[in-house]
Amino acid sequence: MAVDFNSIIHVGLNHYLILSAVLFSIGVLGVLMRRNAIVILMSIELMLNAVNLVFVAFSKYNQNIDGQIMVFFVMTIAAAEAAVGLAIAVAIYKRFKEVNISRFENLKG
Amino acid sequence: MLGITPEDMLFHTFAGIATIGAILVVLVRNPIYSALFLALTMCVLGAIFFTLEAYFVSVAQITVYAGAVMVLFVMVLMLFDLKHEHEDIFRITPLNLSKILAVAVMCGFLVGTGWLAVSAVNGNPGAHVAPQTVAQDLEKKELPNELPAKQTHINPDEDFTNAEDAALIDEAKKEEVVLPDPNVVASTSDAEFGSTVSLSRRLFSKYVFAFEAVSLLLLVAIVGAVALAKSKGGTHHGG
Amino acid sequence: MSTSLLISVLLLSPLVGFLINGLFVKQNNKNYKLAGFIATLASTVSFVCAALLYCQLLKLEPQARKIHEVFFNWINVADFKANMGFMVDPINAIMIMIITGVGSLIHLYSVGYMSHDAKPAKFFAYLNLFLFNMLILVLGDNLLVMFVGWEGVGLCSYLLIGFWFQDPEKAAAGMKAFITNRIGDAGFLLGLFLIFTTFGTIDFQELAKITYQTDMGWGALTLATLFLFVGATGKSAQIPLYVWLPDAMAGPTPVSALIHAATMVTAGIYMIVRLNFMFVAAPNTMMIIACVGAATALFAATIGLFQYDIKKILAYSTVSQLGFMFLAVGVGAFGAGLFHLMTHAFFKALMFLGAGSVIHGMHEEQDVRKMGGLAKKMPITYITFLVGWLAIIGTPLFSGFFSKDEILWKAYSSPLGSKALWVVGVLAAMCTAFYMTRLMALTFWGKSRVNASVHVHESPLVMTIPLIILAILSLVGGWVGIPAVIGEHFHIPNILEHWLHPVIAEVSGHGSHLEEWLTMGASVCLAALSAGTAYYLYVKRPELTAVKPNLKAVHNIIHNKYFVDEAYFATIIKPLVQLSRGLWAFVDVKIVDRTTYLITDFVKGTGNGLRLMTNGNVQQYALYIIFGIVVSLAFVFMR
Repeated sequence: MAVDFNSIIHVGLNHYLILSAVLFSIGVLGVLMRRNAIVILMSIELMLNAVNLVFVAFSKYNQNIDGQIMVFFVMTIAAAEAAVGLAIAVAIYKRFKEVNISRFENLKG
Repeated sequence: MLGITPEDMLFHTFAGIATIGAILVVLVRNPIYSALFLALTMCVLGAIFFTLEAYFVSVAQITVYAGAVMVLFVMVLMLFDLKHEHEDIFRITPLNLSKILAVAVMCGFLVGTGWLAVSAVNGNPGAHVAPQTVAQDLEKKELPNELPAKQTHINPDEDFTNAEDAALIDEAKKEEVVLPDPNVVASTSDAEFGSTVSLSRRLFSKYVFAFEAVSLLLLVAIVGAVALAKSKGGTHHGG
Repeated sequence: MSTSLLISVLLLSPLVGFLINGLFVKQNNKNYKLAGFIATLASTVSFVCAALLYCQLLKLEPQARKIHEVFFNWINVADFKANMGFMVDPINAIMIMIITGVGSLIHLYSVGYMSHDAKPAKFFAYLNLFLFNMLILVLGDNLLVMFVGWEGVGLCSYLLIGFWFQDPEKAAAGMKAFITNRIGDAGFLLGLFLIFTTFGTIDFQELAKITYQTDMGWGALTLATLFLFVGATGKSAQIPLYVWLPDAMAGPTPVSALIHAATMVTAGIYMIVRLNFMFVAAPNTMMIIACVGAATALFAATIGLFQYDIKKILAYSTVSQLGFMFLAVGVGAFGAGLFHLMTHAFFKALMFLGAGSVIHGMHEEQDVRKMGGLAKKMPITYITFLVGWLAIIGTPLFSGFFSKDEILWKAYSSPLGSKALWVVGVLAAMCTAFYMTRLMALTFWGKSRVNASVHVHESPLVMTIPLIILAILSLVGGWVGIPAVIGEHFHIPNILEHWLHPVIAEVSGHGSHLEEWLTMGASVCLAALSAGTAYYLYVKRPELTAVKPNLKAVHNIIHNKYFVDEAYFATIIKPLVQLSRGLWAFVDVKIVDRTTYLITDFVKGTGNGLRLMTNGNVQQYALYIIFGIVVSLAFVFMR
């Protein structure tokens, strides 16, 4: 199998896409496997960051500033979402004294 | 030796740190360590943004994400007493394995789709394409897989002892260097790609409605967060 | 005054009356004057419009007497086109005058008759609705609009017959009327469909242009007209669908007067007269119509001989007189049929209202065996009823004489008629004279058999004024149609014939003036003879009317209406009901219900199974999302 070493080293758009995909997948794994609600929120933030990376990369390669505008908005919304999510987590902790989501299965059935 | 440039080195380093940081976010048990590793990943991503000429976004990433959001996370984590948390994500159950498998497959598909998309537009994944201007139609131009060259590299091995050239260089040095006037605001066409000026010009013309809507959303989020987290009696009744 | 406005007001005035009385007037006994006033006002406004339209028609040339207004294009599907259009020509002009005029009088009468009722506003609302539908029926310019009115009057008939529906017998009578009507309506619809498929149009004016050239044999035209006639038998109570009309006497008497004497039952006649150009082209159907009409006339008249309920006698009389009208149109005497329709409206409505007055005065007693000698106690009712009696038996100068005689003469002389038909008609007329005189004798003349406890009183003015007006009309109403044999001596033209001449197909008869005088004389004498016999039997020698033992069987059969209803029940209704029941038990319960349950059980089972997927574990849901992403990415990847 002929691996073009030059194309691996020499950074192009594909590299950013691969990095973003990897970060995104790690974030998804975090969401699926961790049971602490806060850590899940953090994994979501990781996923959003991966997406931001894609936007910026494409923005650079198409020389179109709109991609960075999108990043601007994603960041804003992610921050808002983190704030509200953490507020909910605080409320839950106050009530139940824990944030382990495996204890909250009231939607069963 | 291999044609490896400093930019490539930077990218690979940062990418490696980001990946390791991300993996550790998911793997460590203590959630505060998770938060700190996430902050690290975010800072590294900010650096990557910087190399991608997205200067404003890069600073915003560090200021907002790593500086505000992660601090918020850490603060909330500090509020909780999480000593008796025993999470065990290393149990090898069929469910866990299926999760990892599914995510790996998804990652593979994502990478493959992106690769295919880029090469379909390009025709040749390794082609060097000259940088295009902003106004050009996306369909007409090819996706360059190269960093547009900003400056040519001076080969230090070249010999400059030619007298003719030395004279030319001396002459060039004597010429007045005109510095840009700091009082003149750069016009759109002069603004550098990715600078705050160009970003803000686009933001406040084409996307001003979204901008206003997002500000409204932030207001709603603030009110919501306060309402959700507040204790029963409010501040003047002492909980 | 523009004609479209006139037609609109004519049609909408009763509808408005219906809406006001139905929606806004409270349903209690105290409102009867208000409700009655609204209804009568609406009806009178319609009458004024009808009169104005008539005057408008008069201004036009006799050959071009037509007012046609199309309000909007109603249906336009593929080849089928039907407008909501209305047309006034000499035929309708008579009809709308009768409907609104007699209708208004009956509305006025009802104010008095329903003064003790619990829900008078409902009654007046229904009366107005009926008027609206009847006007649509007669003014429509195509078969579909006519059918709308046709159905509407059937509905109103049901509503009004079963007005006191708390009594199951009365409710059943209403249902019987509606269902029998529906069977006729099926025939009407089949005729309509056939006409459309054959001629491509259902507009009267277009049909008139086309059908003059069609064949004269057993073709589609004959079949279509036959179907339409079936509809007419349902609506106008001929054999075999007449059975609902005697039962319909369960409704209030003004209903019987308006619907079952003057207007609704005449819809069948009107339809045939309106389509006279088609029926003329189908002589086989005409023959059937004439025979059925004559048979019904005689048949119903014989039943009327042995009835004891005053309203039932009048009901069978109505069926019989309708038979006469069908006999007329069946032999091609469309004008005569319309003429008799008009005079019959006058005197039959008069008699029904008079009967209502009697019943009201006798405190709801309807059996004539318990009446007698009421002439002195209810003078106005008696005198007006007397006028009606004289009209119906065909006393010369009264309206019934001219119209009935015209029919009998045309039955004799028309190429489509025969002497046999004339004989049947005369027999029916004799029976009519007999039972009507019997009615008079038992009710008004002779010794009183009234129960001592019943205090008989004359009816109030609001009820007697319509009686007087109708009595005057029963006398003079026939003078517009004086036949030529009489009129030429006095230089009085036959106004009705000239009026209808441009729009009705002519079937020229053959018969000399001598024959006409002879037949006229014969029928008058025979009628007088039977009237005299009845008078003798019931007034002078009532003991002779006791039924002799050997005649008891005959009497029983006739009194029980020849057991026709029972025969229908045994042969048609009972098997149908049993078939329905069987179908229900087998098909509906076993097959249809089982299939439905199968489907629902399947859905329930699937739902239950899927329910297990939601176990509240959020991360599991996220895993499902990832699966979905993988699948969709695989799709994208494979392309």
